[in-house]
Amino acid sequence: MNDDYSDGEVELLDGLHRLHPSAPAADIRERFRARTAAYRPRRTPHRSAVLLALAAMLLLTVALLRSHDRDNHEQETIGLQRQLTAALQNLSAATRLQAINTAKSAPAGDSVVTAALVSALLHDQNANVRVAAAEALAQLAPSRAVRLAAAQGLATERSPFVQVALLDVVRQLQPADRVHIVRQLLAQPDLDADVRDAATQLSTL
Amino acid sequence: MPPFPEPSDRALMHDVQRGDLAALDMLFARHHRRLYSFLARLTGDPDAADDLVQDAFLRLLRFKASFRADGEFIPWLFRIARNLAVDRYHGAEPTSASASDALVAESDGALDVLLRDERQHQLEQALATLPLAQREVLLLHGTEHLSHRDLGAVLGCTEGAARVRVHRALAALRGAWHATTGEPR
Repeated sequence: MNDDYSDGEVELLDGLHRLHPSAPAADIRERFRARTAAYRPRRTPHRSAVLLALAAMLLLTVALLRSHDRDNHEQETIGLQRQLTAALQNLSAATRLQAINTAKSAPAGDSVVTAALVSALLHDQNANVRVAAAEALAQLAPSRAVRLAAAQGLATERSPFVQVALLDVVRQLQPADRVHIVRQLLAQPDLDADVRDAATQLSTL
Repeated sequence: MPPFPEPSDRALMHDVQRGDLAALDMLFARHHRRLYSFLARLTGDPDAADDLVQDAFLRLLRFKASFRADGEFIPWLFRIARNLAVDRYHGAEPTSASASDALVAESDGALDVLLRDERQHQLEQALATLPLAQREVLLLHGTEHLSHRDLGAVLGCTEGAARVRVHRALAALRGAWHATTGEPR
């Protein structure tokens, strides 16, 4: 490697090589294991089935409880919308992430919640929040708003992680919409190689 | 020779692709210290590096399908970690030198060790003043010893472009080092 470099450059590279390594906290592996244990791959059929069953039970319970009082139901929905909209303005990315997770319990097709998720997807500064918003949108029915958000998001998003999450949204769309959006994405000259692979696979579905 | 040879990173990654979280744990045990050291220097923030190391290995789960059968694991892992760090700062340059200060080991009192540590400390300080794009090039190539080819894979550029970036980053580091020490160039 050193054949490529002048003596001065070799001296600097040698200095860089001898920098003292920095050590992480002693409990980092245990904390990572805890996070891994909580990790649930979304595409594993068995786990998806369990999650679907749990979600169905939850929805059924909620439906039964709320059927007693329609007014209360509407009030709760409005309250959830307000909480979500306010939480997504919070300075803490962790709070915004929590808000998006809460939004998943909103009634399916709620336009206010969908609009809040789209706004987070397109405008939030934190990539993890944008990924969470994309994942939440991927669980919604592929409405016109969701389709437009996916197209606009992929046209402007530069984070490969968010782009891959958005491809999961695109996966839910009609074939014609899907092909159109993926083609536009693949036309980007500086597209991340992993994203290009994922998009190419999607275009062959 | 041990009765059971250690599985390669690639073999472990293939196990991860089949859903084996124990293989992920082994990869974490094998590489998290090295990745942490890189991220701590890149961001200048030990707490952020702690988060990013864990996030990188969780991303590895999410991206597991994109790891190719003949792929190189280390450049792929560093690429994920580097992208996470770039995403986190999103245009706002991390400039804190606190991590660099924390990385300098205590001298044992011998003069040569003291001098060497002083030079290392100056180099750390100079490195911390560079833009993230140059710092990552120097850390990946100089400290982590990634080849130009692997560096190009991490940065998403050709081997030749990676070589040029290293030369430019070294020139910037030399200038920053002279500014730190007050020595003429």
